[in-house]
Amino acid sequence: MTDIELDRQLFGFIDNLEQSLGYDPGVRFECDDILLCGVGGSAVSGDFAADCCYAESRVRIHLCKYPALPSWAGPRTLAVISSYSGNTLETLTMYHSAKECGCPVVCVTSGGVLESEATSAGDVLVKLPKNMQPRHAIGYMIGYTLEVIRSAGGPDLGPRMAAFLPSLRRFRDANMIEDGCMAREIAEWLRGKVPVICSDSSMRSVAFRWKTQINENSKFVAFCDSEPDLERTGTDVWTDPSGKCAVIVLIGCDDGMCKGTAKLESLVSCLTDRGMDVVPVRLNGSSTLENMFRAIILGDYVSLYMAEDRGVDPVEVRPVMQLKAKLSKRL
Amino acid sequence: MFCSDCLMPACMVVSDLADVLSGNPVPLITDSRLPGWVDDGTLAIVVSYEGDRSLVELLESRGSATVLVTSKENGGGSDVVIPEGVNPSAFVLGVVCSIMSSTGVFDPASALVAALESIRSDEERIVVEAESLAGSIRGRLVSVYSPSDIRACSYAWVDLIRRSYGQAAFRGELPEFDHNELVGWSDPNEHAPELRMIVFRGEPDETLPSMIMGFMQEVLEENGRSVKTVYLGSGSSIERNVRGMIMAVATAIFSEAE
Repeated sequence: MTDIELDRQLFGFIDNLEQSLGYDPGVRFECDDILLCGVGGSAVSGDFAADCCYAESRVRIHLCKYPALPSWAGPRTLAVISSYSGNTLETLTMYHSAKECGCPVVCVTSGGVLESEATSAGDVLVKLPKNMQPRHAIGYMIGYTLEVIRSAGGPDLGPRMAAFLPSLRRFRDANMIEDGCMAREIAEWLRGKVPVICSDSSMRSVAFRWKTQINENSKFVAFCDSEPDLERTGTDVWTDPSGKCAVIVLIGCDDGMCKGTAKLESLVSCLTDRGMDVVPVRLNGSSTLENMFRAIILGDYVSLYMAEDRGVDPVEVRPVMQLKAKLSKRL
Repeated sequence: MFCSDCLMPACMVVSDLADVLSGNPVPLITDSRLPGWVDDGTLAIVVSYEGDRSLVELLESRGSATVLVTSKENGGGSDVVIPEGVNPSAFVLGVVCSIMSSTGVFDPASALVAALESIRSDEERIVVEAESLAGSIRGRLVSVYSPSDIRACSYAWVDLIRRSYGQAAFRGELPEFDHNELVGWSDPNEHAPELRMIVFRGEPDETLPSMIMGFMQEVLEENGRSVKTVYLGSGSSIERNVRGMIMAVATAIFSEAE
């Protein structure tokens, strides 16, 4: 249970991001690889940050969502351990493995066991505000993760992000709040359907975020896929056995980060010609980086309105709690 | 490694294994864009069935040493040519393992040989399982899950369903699934009764990932969602991946017979 209502948390995403920009861990990390460790809502920031840095980072950035670090992790691998609660078992296991491997460690958390152990060990600790839904603390977590990556030799994206924050706020206010806004229209269009979110490879993490937000907030099954996986398997021959798939194609703009806009427009035409339910969502931002944030905000609000439409509580995640209860009894 | 075509799952088998055996990362890049870290210190193994050299040229422009594995012979000095037509994934897996072993980074070739010995003795079970799976896919909207240490398996299965059945299919990873998708799949989703989950996993044991997968299945069943689970044995990641991929090939054959 959180003290901050969910819609206020979504609205506060941009402010949270702004607050985290400029964060300095006070350490310059010398490393060859960065391992972004986390699961669920706490892994989103790593996914997103890896996509943001893909084309520019001279340091290799990897994701780890499995309770075992890769065999090559060691003293030249910076392990960024993210768990909002600080108590997620898989992430704590990754933290312990990172310490055993001799990795320099940064912990991103609001408290829990992770904060306690990181403090005792003298690790760099990025403290998140409490009383938020973990999956809606990503404004802070994305910003902090990108700044940690910068301190390890990754690109400095902070100034670019700060520059488009006013545009993001205008986008949010124009498209997320009012009756008949874009987010509500998309949510209504998805009623009774199986959402499939498609994107270019530059926004793979965003498509995944849409899927998981629909899963958790709206309690629906949803799917996602991105280029080049779509092209590899020939989307043009797909049939939809359920007859219920509704495809959302997230379309940005071509720039240094993205080269796939034409393929996505072609995908829209192809699926439309095959009689599938398709809607292109053209984000119209000034850059791929801005479009990624626009899409995150839009997807979060869509999932909230889908939950309202279904009459379900977007906050509760009973099956996840069931699983955690079983685990805690066993261990 | 760089591959984005039909041979990608075979390459991912080696990348998955590198995370268990290698002292250096061996990332698999499936993107047409080069990551920022690629430079003259990068050894690039590019796999392209059709011999697309655009990525090779891009890599060489950054000073990377490259090897192209392809079925199209066109005079590239460092090209490794595999036969056309016959199951190219099998050839690519062997070739990439051999190249990787020859670099000294790590030795997937030996691991592959050991895995195949074990899989050979399991052929009958693989065929039985494949036939069962073939019958449960047609007309369903399927999503395939595998643990993150055998990602290649779920990719191979999605490719199979899309190509052999011409149906949309999707994938995900465990235990990440348990923190988000579990909620969606625990709902009846009455609007889409064709939804089906298939989970590929190792034999149950006392490790944390295995326990998590077992509890996940319990939670789904308690919430009314039945899951088709395929056990891939308790061997190495390459053994479980390859067993899963052979099962996919067998299922494709059964699907053609339907």
